[in-house]
Amino acid sequence: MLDLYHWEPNANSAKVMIGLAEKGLEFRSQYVDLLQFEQYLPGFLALNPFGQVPVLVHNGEVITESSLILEYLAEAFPAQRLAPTDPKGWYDAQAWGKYVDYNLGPSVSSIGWHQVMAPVMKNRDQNKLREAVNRIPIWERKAAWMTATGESYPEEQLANSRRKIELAVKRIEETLRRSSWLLGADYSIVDIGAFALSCTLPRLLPDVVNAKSAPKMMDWLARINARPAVRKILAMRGKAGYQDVYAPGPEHSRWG
Amino acid sequence: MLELYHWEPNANSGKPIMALKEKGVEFVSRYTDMLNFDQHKPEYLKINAAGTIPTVVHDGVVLTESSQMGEYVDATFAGPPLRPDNPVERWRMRWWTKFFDTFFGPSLSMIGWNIFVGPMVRQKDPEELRQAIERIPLKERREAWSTAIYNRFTVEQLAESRRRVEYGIRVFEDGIKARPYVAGPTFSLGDINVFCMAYALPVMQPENVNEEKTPGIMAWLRRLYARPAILESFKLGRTPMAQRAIEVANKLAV
Repeated sequence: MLDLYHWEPNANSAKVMIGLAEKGLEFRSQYVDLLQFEQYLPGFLALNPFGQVPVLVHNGEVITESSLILEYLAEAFPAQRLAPTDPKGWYDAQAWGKYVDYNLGPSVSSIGWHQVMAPVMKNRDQNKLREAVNRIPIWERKAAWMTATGESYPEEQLANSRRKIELAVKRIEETLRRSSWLLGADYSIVDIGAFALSCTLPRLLPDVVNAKSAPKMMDWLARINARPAVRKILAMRGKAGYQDVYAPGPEHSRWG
Repeated sequence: MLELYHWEPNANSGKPIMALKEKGVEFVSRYTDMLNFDQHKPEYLKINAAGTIPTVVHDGVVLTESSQMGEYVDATFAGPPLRPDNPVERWRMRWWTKFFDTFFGPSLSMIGWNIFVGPMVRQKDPEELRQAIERIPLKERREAWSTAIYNRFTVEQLAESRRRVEYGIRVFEDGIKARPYVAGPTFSLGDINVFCMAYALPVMQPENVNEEKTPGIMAWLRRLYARPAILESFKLGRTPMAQRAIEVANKLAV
């Protein structure tokens, strides 16, 4: 039995949702509304004390951290591994996963929140919002939400985020000039992870990711987007409807 | 042939050293002096363009991610297994590795630079230091190194680092109390990766890591310090950092 606690099919939640669908694994969907702070309710914190989605519960075992969940699924369900078996290939899969998590994860979240969500959140009752943020029992997460729902992010952080995205896009584009998929000839968990974190970029930063500046990446996004498993997951949009959504994501590295 | 470019058997450099020693793999040690900025010199950047230490070069394969090198070593060479077979235990091995890499490690190293490494580096010629920083390839890395070298951490950053280290110690104590090793019943790469960040805690953070407050961590450290491959790894150290390991081993009466 597989239960997946997730938000909308975006970012880290989408990573695991698409991974499960591509492997043909049925799961019970447990929707956690991040914008209503359900990830900080006692029931969810009992599963993951860090208050983060996605969380996979597999036969009673709680598995967290989206990229590590994809690695877990590769090893727990080896028939549809979607990852290399040779030592160097597996190293490359882990190194890519880490690269997109560190560089795209926090950066896309910062810019996405600032551009798309911060204006929307201004329409909510600000007193109730502040009360909800003050109740967050995890110090780092409370600080992150206070910034996000307050003044949003400083210019310097947004500029750094943009720079990191540009570098990651360049790396993806250069890799796809040499091979169809990020790890070579085969579609893998690396493509799934990178897609989940970058698929909104043509709308979020159209001057960075477009058919002229990143043709290979645009084609790669379209190929993944057309896959039946991906269609099925993206159609699972919940309360947020068909708009791109973002939440204050994983932290930027404290060492810059 | 396997060549390992490494600094002290500490933090990231310690991970592949200990994995190779535990696996029983012969390797050529290429000591790379981080405080002399050897990692930003042109000859090193030809091997690893990002200018990070450590780097593994094995028959033309180049690996630069320290936490994942051990998996490559374990899968490539004969020797005792360093990863559990059970997928849940493997996940747990990686989870603790990531927790220490992303949450605990950066804060501990900020404190380490503030009180220990920074003063060592600032004894160098200021002009030489300035030139060394200019050679660093990435803007983010240049800024991070400048902050560390010139001790430009803010009071708030240091306070936040101390809070995270104290909180991380409590989280680890809760985790390691439940099972003898990081991943479960058997020793794994998770123990190596965590140990490289945590081996000196009883002398660096005596008020937080001791027999009363963290008996689980102390018992786990004793199990790790009792391993010949771990003690062997510290012999590759050339600075007072590795001597701290001996101090801890004495304190633990291993």
